[in-house]
Amino acid sequence: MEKPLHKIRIKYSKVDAMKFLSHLDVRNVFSKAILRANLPISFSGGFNPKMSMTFSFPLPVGTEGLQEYADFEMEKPTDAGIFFQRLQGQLPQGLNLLEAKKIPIIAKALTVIINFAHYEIEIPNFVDCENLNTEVENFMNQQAIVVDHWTKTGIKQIDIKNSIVKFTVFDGSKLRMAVNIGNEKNIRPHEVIEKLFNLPKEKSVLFKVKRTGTYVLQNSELIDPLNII
Amino acid sequence: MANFFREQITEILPLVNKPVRYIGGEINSVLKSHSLVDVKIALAFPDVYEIGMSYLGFKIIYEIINSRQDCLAERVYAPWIDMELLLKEKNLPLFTLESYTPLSEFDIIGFSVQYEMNYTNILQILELGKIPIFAKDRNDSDPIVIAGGPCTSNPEPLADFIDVFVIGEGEEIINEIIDVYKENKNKTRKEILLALSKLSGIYVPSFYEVKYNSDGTISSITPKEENVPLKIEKRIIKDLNTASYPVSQVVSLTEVIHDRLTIEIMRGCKRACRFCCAGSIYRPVRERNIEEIEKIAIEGIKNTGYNEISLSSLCTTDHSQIKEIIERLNTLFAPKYISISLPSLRVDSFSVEIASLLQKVRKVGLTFAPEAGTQRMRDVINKNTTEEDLMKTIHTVYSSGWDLIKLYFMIGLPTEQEEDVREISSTVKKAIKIGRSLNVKHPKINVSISSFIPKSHTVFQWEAQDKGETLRNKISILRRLLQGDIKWHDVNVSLLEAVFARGDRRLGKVLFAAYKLGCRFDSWAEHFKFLNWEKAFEECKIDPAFYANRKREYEEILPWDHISYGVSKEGLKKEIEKVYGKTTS
Repeated sequence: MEKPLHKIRIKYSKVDAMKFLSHLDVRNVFSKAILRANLPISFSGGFNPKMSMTFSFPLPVGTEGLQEYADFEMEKPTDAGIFFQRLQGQLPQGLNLLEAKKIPIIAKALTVIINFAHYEIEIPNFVDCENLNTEVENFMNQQAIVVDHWTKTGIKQIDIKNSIVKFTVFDGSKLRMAVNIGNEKNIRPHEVIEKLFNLPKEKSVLFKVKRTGTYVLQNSELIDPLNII
Repeated sequence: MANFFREQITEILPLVNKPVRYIGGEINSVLKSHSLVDVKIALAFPDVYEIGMSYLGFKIIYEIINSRQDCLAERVYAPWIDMELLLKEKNLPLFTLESYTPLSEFDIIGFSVQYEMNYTNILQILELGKIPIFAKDRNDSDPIVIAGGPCTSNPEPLADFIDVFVIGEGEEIINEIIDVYKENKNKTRKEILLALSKLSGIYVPSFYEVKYNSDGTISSITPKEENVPLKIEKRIIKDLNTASYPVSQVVSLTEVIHDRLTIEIMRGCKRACRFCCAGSIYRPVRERNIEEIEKIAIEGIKNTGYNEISLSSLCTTDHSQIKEIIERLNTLFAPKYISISLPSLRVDSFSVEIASLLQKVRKVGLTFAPEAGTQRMRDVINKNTTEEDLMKTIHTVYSSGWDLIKLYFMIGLPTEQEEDVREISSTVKKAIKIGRSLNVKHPKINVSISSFIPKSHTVFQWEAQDKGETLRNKISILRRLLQGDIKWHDVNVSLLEAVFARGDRRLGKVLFAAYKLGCRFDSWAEHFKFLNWEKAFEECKIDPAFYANRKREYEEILPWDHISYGVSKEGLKKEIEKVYGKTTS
């Protein structure tokens, strides 16, 4: 086992049918693609060695992601351009590689630096959008927005209001939401939909949701994680 | 049209569990233009995606068909219950994963039938695919429904639903089927079936008539059409090395049960365990040579990106070059963290030595199948393993650093006494003792108990299965004696397996009745509805015990007597006579 030399950080999108892949599925697809691409990635030690790769915050199954990120630790010096070229041809349609960049091994993990995300929500026909603006306004004017989160220890009630930074209507029947993310306060867009329209889960899954970007919010500026080292 | 249909399916996918089962788009899946080929085949697997994606035969046939210019193969798996309900609710037909084409638009539907408990899902796939469930109701515009796989060792219970059975190995005959279909595709359904029935290894059940005696046994099986064979001989591939092998296996996007590159290194088994159907029907033994295996491994890994290579066969350590194969593959693949695995091991020290070689990349578990607890019983089944072999093997295992061993046993074998069952527990306890004597901290043995299922084309094909009550009693003896980690097979499932493994075509109506009562995914404990099965048997006035628990006369015409796997009834009779004289062959 050689020590990893550097990382490659990639930006990719997860769209169309690939939105149905779970976080674990994405990991499996990438690990097979890396092997097919014959890229010199590092492995962990132990009884069951695993590829050294980390992904940013999971997308819920069914949600598209337009700017998602992952880091790969490399065992041999690897040019980002070559990495991009070789991996690109090995990914299924819908998992699209957008950019690759060489970063130092000591670069902070994606889940440590990424703290902000944009979502877009398409409202299906069965929902009346006439008073949408007012509804969203009233929604945001509540004292608290409490949702149930299932955790290992049981159901926990948490207030997600402060995590929603901005919530607006556009194109008449679409919503744009800017949220803080991080390990503690991850918002699931479908739970916002359920609260806002008072709908059960089997209806909220019919809303098309896209995470249009994940960022590092620094000094009130949104920075692409590729540019943070 | 196709696009609109795809959109409708995409609309319902967010509502189902694991939508990834239905999206297709996997690496190495093949999408061809339907208008550019002469023959379109949907390969169907009657279980859920994660199970069906792991079967080798399915992959072999998929790659052979798609390597031809003039035809295409696409895949369909049994939709899970939630998807079935939605398809019915929205009146959408079941479709293939590659192009989202409804099944009824294909020329041929080819089922891979691996297990009796998948039979109801064949009916489910046909119905959801909007293809008449009964063969007799299909007309010239419906697809030809073909079935192949190990269950065709007794195809009769499926005779009402399947137009054409493939008897034996599929690599060559699939091309012949396509050629014959192509030549005759504009003719009537019957003419196509007649043309297919001329191929060696093809069985068209509707061309045969079965008559019965007043006691329910069969009085005759005779061809109804001229020039169809009296006996259907199985197909065999002469040389594995020249046979087509899939090196661009479809790689699932989600986790499936065997997420690895499977390489069949040998077909057939030189052992002659008397209960084993696979050992009978896959004769003769043929090895794939080391060069060919290496080529497949290199090409296969390059195309799939798997991190495990499974060397499969009925008894992998019997391959004459097994050690060299593993060493060579280790040299090539261990530096890339790709491990080698074997399905199960024979009870001997050589197998443990082989297993040690497999540890190079990942730690592996060890599974052995002594099958029975006493020497007498092992002699009856012709398992040439002695108590000494087993204990020596266990000794080697524990002293080589393993602390967990899995052991498979079978209960309900012919001539079995309570003593034989009890001895299973003594065997396990002796093994643990060996572990302790070697100072293994927590020597552990996981015991799996299955019930004997008498199968067609085996020495035990005339034997009765123990009644449910007897089997339950034997299991509870073992549970009491062993207390700890013991798993056992559902006795009611074993009963149905025994019924369908040796049943005749009258069971078609039971199958249909059970399906209509809601039975499907019968191999899944959470979906298995035995009460509905009992109801179905009652409705059809058929007694399952007639098939499962009755010892058959040697003179009796068996439902599969017209299907030849090259194993003579006379030879089997001689063997069973030895059993009752208690010798091994």
